[in-house]
Formats: sequence, structure tokens, C-alpha cells
Amino acid sequence: MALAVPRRRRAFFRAGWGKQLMLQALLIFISFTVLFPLLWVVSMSLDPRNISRPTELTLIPPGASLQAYQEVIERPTSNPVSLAQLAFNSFGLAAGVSLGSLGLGVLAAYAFSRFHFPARRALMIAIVAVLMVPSVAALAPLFVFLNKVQINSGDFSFNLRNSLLGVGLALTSGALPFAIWNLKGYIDTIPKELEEAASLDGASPTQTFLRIMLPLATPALAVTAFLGFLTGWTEFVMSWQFLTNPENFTLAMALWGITGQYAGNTPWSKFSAMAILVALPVSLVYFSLQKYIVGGLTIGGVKG
Amino acid sequence: MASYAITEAATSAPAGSRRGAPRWLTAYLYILPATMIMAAITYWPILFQVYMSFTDYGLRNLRFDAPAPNFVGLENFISLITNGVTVIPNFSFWGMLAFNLFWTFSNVIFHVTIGILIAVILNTPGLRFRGFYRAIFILPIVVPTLVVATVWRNMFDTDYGAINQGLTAIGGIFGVTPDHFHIRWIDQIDPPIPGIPLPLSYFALLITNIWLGWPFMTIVATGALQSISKEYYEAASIDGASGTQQFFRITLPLLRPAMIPAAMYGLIVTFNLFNLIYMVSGGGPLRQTEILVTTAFRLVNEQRLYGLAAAFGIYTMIILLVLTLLTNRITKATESYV
Amino acid sequence: MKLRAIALLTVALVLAAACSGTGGTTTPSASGGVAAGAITGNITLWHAYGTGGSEETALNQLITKIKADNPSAKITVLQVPFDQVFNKFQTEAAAGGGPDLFTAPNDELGNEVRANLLMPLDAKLSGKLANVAPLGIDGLKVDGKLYGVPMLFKAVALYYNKDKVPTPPKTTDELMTMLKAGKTLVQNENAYHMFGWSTAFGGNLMDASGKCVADQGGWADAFTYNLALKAAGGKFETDGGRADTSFRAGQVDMIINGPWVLGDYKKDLGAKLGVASIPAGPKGKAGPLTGVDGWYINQSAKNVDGAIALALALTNAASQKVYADVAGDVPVRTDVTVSDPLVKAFSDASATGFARPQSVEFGNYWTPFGDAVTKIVEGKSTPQAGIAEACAAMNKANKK
Repeated sequence: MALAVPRRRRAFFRAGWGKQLMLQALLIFISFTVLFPLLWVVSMSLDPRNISRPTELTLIPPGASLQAYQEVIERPTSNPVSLAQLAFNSFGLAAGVSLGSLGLGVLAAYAFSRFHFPARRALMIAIVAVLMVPSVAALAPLFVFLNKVQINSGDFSFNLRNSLLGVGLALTSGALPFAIWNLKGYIDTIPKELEEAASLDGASPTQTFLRIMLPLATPALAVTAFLGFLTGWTEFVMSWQFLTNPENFTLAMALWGITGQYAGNTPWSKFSAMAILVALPVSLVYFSLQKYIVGGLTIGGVKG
Repeated sequence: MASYAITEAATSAPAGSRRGAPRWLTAYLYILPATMIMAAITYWPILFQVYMSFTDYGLRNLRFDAPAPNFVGLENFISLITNGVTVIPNFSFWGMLAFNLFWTFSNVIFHVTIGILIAVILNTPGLRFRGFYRAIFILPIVVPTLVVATVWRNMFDTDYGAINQGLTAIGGIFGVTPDHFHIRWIDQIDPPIPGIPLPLSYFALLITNIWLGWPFMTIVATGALQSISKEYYEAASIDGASGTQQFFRITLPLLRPAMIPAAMYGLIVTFNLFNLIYMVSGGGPLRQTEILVTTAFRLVNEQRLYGLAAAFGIYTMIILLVLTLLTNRITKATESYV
Repeated sequence: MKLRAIALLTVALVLAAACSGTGGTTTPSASGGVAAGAITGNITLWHAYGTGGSEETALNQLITKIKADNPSAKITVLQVPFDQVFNKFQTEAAAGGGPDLFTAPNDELGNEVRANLLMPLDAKLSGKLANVAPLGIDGLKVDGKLYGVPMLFKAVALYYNKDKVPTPPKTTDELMTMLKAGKTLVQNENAYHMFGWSTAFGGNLMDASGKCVADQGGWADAFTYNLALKAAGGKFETDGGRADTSFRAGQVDMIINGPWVLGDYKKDLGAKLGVASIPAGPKGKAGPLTGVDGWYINQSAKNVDGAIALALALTNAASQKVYADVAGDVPVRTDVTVSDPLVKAFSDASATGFARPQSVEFGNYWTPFGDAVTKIVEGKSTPQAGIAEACAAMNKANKK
């Protein structure tokens, strides 16, 4: 199915003008419901009154200014870390989780889909079952465990728990079950004939995997990479629990820092401005991958 | 997903040479990196959670040099299902579970239905601006939940919330006075529909989560739709089937294999949907919209009862496992996909 | 091919990030010189003040000055969002890490002490807290031992808009008359903000053994009175932000809230803003729950003496004056003269307050009484029944 070429505009006149108009009206309405809450955020970010909700339904509030943006760009948090550093860390964390879950996930998914080996079914169930366990009580033991990995020699000291690497590993591990499940579902739909042919030509399983499987699985790889990126980009609970060095802080942490204030005193304009700054890059990543993503989300798989 | 019925066709190795390492060994090598990371970072804390669930683990046991917690056997598990949790007044595990299940299914039904309908509309041949709509419809997935939840909570505000303002505007057209739309979405305790014990905040959460959830299903459905061969529809047209008939006889059955695993994933995610409920209704009013995972969070965060919360987590896993296995049995759609 | 597009995007994002700002870097490293002041060594400090808020400004002013006075001390400051700070401290301290000291209200003090995460300070502080009000010291005691250096009182009082209410109500009867005459009051509908009324009507939450005795009178009367306020037009809000907004916008004449919003209210209302104690009732003054902000020393602190010296410097008379003047906070010291009448009013309110108990039993006050407030105010339960139910639930949880 991944190979099916979308039939673009081929039958333009099949949808008559009446139907076209009706569908357009419907889709514009749906777009409106999707965009409305987001436009609200835009409106709040421009509002100098720092209020939690616009008092009227206008996009540009009275006295609109970009001051909130200026404030969060100049001083995103109380801690000594610049917006550039936050963005850099967020990007590193997100990219790491994305690549980590993708790389490890596709290897495992390929094995689950194509090989026959002892305990295969039990392992797959064990991996998927992880999705079902809420980790509410598990954060503290994970903290203790990662905290044990410490290196101290002279001036150099490293604590895995108190590092982006540690948070990244934890997030990667958390993203793996979905990645494996989705990738396996997709690989299941890819006909085996090509691999069999390659195998007959003398290619090793690894060669087959690299040269045949990976290119064919592009849509699923793109989705998995994107969702992994999203996981790393938006995480803040674990980061706030684990990290203490402002040089390691991320954008999502800064966003939560603005909202999670004493007695619920949220500076709303700054929160909204920051929210937009946080959401914008992921949207760009999505749009750049969008072409590959449709059709790649096939947890459990579509029979091919 | 988690099925015991594995068809051999899907699992058998491609025919071919078996030189080099045995194939099962190669398979293990492929799986090893992922399982090693998960063993250390995911399974170990889960096992620790299992251990905690049999103890009275609390904040006093957290310190590295603290005494070990007391082993209490099944006490946590028993006190949960016999409503013996006294730190939360009127605690009812079964009531909460019933709400949690209803919450989950009601959401997923909307997500899947709306997701499929919009995917089908977007797939209409000759539709203009298709790419534009697809780009917009992804936004709920891309915007951080923290932002979504905060914004929706404010939108449900009684006086200034966009929902009530919008309803007032629409009502005004029909001559309904504004005071009819002073709806207390989050706070009203009385159920809006007499006889059905669901508070208004459930509906507020439902609306928010529908907004959040359907685009995922649309992406899945779009992928599946594009793999349906056009010939089916052409043949059906020749036989004189109407558009509606084609939808029910061709589109839906062929979407099923893709949508059921996606729906199951949706079930799991929605069952444990912490962020949204915590941030929009806070479980209120009077804990009527509290689900298992938000209650477990309260036990950890407000009472530091790690042991009890861990038992909650184990129950959640068992319930979801049973749920998915049952669904799987009934639908049999995913039998070859675990 | 497509990979290149992704790579380009990556580069673009990184560049964009790199160009978008050149914010502050970490504090310069400590000079190696000999100690000039009493505060020495590396000290890590956490706080949870809002970014750009007046309390943060006050703290930063003090830290800058202390750093200048004590060149041999290397002080590292970290801000943690308020709703993460207890969790973060507890997990870090449990693992043997965390800051040397941190400041927060005494919400979690009892739990942290019982988990062995805070250092007892009686010996180290003996003779150094002579000018601190007893209520401040008691607030940081658990089972008779002191676990923090007291700094500020936090209790709610009545804010009023002088344009609408020239003289604040002194008694509950006066307040009722005002509401009936068309003045408006908004209250946060929760078990914290409404605590003070119970004392005004002679209510008592717990006896000496920690058993809830709120059902033995007073509490129900306080809620009966509040229902009468509601009938006379008094507003109740579950969303604090909403309540604030209506008062700040001048739509409501009075609100009950704490000193932490003083700065924001002043910004909007200026000279129109007034503060008074919650009106006294038939059985005496109102007793709002009085919390104490203190500096707590981590049980695993690496630099205990430095941390205590820093805490003392941050809570001496001059420093508390800065908190009072800059942030409108109420000092726990009796030798600090507060010039601002609004802060003075909060100081009076705190003095008659009910010191927040640190017992295990009090931990089970919040959920049952939170429910009771909701049920009573929303008319789902009579004051008598609601309080009796809450008290029974609290005692059940505490096995009393």
C-alpha cells in the first residue's frame, strides 16, 4: 500500500461543483474548529493585559504588542540560560530520542517481522505491554537507578541522571514500544518477494535489511522519527525532576516554568508567546516530513 | 496486537540461504540493543513498581539510607478493590473504573468515526486544497498538550470563555438571551442530563479530547484509504451501488484492518490520559472525572503513598491487558500482527 | 536527496537557535581568596519564585549584595517552578543530592522531616532567632524541633477597592450589611482561603490528639454565614485567576487573598488598594491559616555552615526589610519596621492566624474539607452535614 501513488487531481471533474462547494464549506468549518484555540493563543501572546482569557473574540487585542515575545526571548527563565541554549538542548534531546528510537526500533521491528525465533511472541507482548503501565510510581526508582551511574575523577564529574543523556535514554526507552509496534506493522505489509530475491542473489540478512528494507519503509520511518522528536521536544515532567544544571534545560521546561507558578499566577502573555515559540519548530519539522508521513502510521499494520 | 493466534504466514522467514550465523541468532542480535535499553530503563522500574506494590513504600523509604519498607502482602491490592483507601473520601475503585472505561470508549468511538469521515472527505477525488487541509489538521498533534489543555480550560470559562461566548452569539441569532449560556462547564456538580451520572466537565473533557484525538485517526485512515484499489469502486459503480453503499461495503471493511489496531492504541492512550484530565478539570468536580492514573498521581504527589500507587499501576496494566485481549478476540483483526 | 532536506532543516534550526539570543551564562567562578565574610564555600540554593516577580527581584538584590560582601562564597541559585519544587527536592535529597538550602512555604515540612530529608537546627540556631516572632519559629517546628530559618509569614486577608469601599468591614455583620447594600466580594472556593472564618465563629479543627473536632460547632456556623453572603450576592470562584481578574479589573469590590498577589494588585489598582484583616465574627478574630516561608537545610548538604550563614544573612533585619519593601512580604522578625500600611495589614492578619500544623493528621484535612467547601457552597449539602461528613472522613483517614 505504501507503494500506491496518490491519485492527484486525476478525476477533478468527478466531484461536481455542488459537491465540491459543500465539501469545501465543511472542511473550512473543520479547519476553523482546529485553528480556533490556536488563534486564541496568538491573540493572548499579543495582549499587553496579561490576562488568562481574551475578553472578546478578536484576533488582535486592543493595544497589541510583541512585548511578551521580547521578554521571553531575552529572559526565558529565571535561571542563567539563554533561549538559544534552551532551543539547542531541546533540539539535541528531541533529535536524540528520534534517532535512538528509530534506529533501535527498526532493528527490533525487522527481526520481529521477518525472523522466526524462540520467545518471539512473548517478547513482542512484553514490549507492547509497556504501553499499558502508567509510570506514575516508577519515576522515583528510575531516578535512583540513573543516579547510580556517576563518574567522578578530578574536576570531571558526570551524573547520568543529571544529564540530557540520561533523560534522553529514558525517553528513548519510553518511545521504543510504540516505535517497534508501528514499524513492525509497516514492515509486515511489505511484500517479502524482494528480500527473497536479494537473498537468492546471496545478500546477507543485514545487506537485505539495509538495501531493501529501509528504503521501502520510509513512510513508517518518517512517522516514527517525527513522533520520537515530538516526545523529546515536549517532555518536561521528567526533565524537571532530573536536571538541575540550567545549561541542560529545555524549552518545554521553560514553558512549564512559566505556567507552574506559585498560587497559579501565570503571566499569560509570556506563556502564550513561549507556547508559540515551542510549537513552531515541531510544526516545521512535521511539514518537512509530511510527504512521507501519510501512510506510515500503521501500528499493528495493514494487510498488504 | 497482543494476540495468541499467530498465523505462520506472517512470521515465517523468507525462504533463502542459511549460511553464516543461524537466523535466530541474527534475530536476537537485531533485538538486543532495544531490549537492553528497555531492560535497564523501562523494565527495571516496572519491576521495582511491582515490588513497591507489595509494601507500604512511602516518602520515608525514599532516602538512600532509609530502612526498607514493610512488606504488606496483598494489602494494597485488597484495600483498593474493597474501597479501603481512607485518604480519599468516598473512594470507590469500581465507580472510578466504570467511569474510566466509559471515558475511554466514548472518546475512541468519536476519534475513529470522525477520523474516518474526515479522511474519506479528504480522499474525495478532485478535492481542491487537499494539501492545505491536511497541513492544518495535523496541528492538534503538533501543539504540546500542556498548551492545548491550558487553552481549552480557559475556553470553557463561564464568563469570558470562547465556548460560552460562541454559544451566546449563535443563541442571539435565534433570540435566546445570553443568560442561558452562562454555563459552568468545569464546576457544575449536577449532571446536565438527568439520570446519567456524568458531570458537565466530562463533556468539556470529551470535546477537548475529540479535538485532540481525531487527527491521529485521520492519518491512519488516510494511509489505509490510499491502499484500497480503485477497481473495487469501479466494479461497484458498474453494479449500480450508491456512494453510501460503497462506503459501507467497500471502504469500511477495507479500513478495518488498519483502524482496529489504531483504535486499540487509542484505547490504551485514552485509558491512561493523565495530562488532559489533570490540567482541564483536575478530576473535578468532587473527583467525578478522576480516572485511575490521575488518582494514582494524587496518591504519590499529595500523600506520598508510593506502594498504593504502584498497586494502582499494576491493576491498570491488568485491566488494559484483559481489555486488549478481549477486543482482539472479538475482532480478530490483528491476529497476525503481534 | 530527502535526507539532505532534513539535514538542511537541522542546520537551519540550530543556526536560528544560535542567532536568536545571547542570554546570560552561569555565574563567574569563585575567587580563590580568603573569606572576607561569614559565608564561605560553594552553596547551592533553590527557590520557586515566579520569573520576573517581585519576590524574585528581592531575592536577587539580596544575593547580589551578599556575593559582593562575601567574595569567597560561590553561591549558585536555581529557580524551580513552584509545583515541582517539593517533588524535586524530595527525590534529589533522598538520593543524597539536592541543594544545600531552599526556600518555600512550610506546606511539606512535616513530610520532609519525617522522611529524614531536613536537618534539625536547634543547636545551630540557638540564640540567633531572638527577634523572630514565636509564631514564625513554631511554624517551622516539627515534634518540638526546629527545621528551618524563618523568614516570612503567608496568610490571607481582605483586599478592598477604596473607591468602592472607603472603610473596610471590621465584623462579619458589617460585611453582610455591605453586601446587602450592593457591595461585592469574591472568594476562592477552597479549604485554604476560607479557613479563617471558622475561628471567627469559634470553630476548632483538631484537638490535641489530632482528632477532628470541627463538627462540634463553629465551622458549620462559618459556612452558614458564607451561604448567607452568597445569597446576598457574594461570589465564589474555583479558579483563582478568574477571581483575581475580576478584582483587578474593578468589577468586584473585595477579595480574600494572600500577600503574594499584592504586587500585581498594586499595579492595577494603585492607591485605590486597601488591605484589612478578614472581619471578626461573633466568637472573635478570624484565624486564617498562617504559613511560614523558611530556609530549609538539606540533610545531605555539603556545606552546612555556609548554608546556615547564608540563610541567616537572607533573614536578618535588613534583608527582611528588603522583602517587605520590594515584594510586600510580611517579615517574621519583630525588629523590622514595615512602612507600607498594606504590608502592615497582612502582618496583623498573620499575627492572629492559625499556625499551619505539620502533623500527619493535618495532611488529611485538605481533601475532605475541600469536598465539604464545594458541596456546601454549591448547595449539595447543608453546612452541618457537610462538615460532619468531612470530619468523619478526616478521622477515618487518620484512624482516630
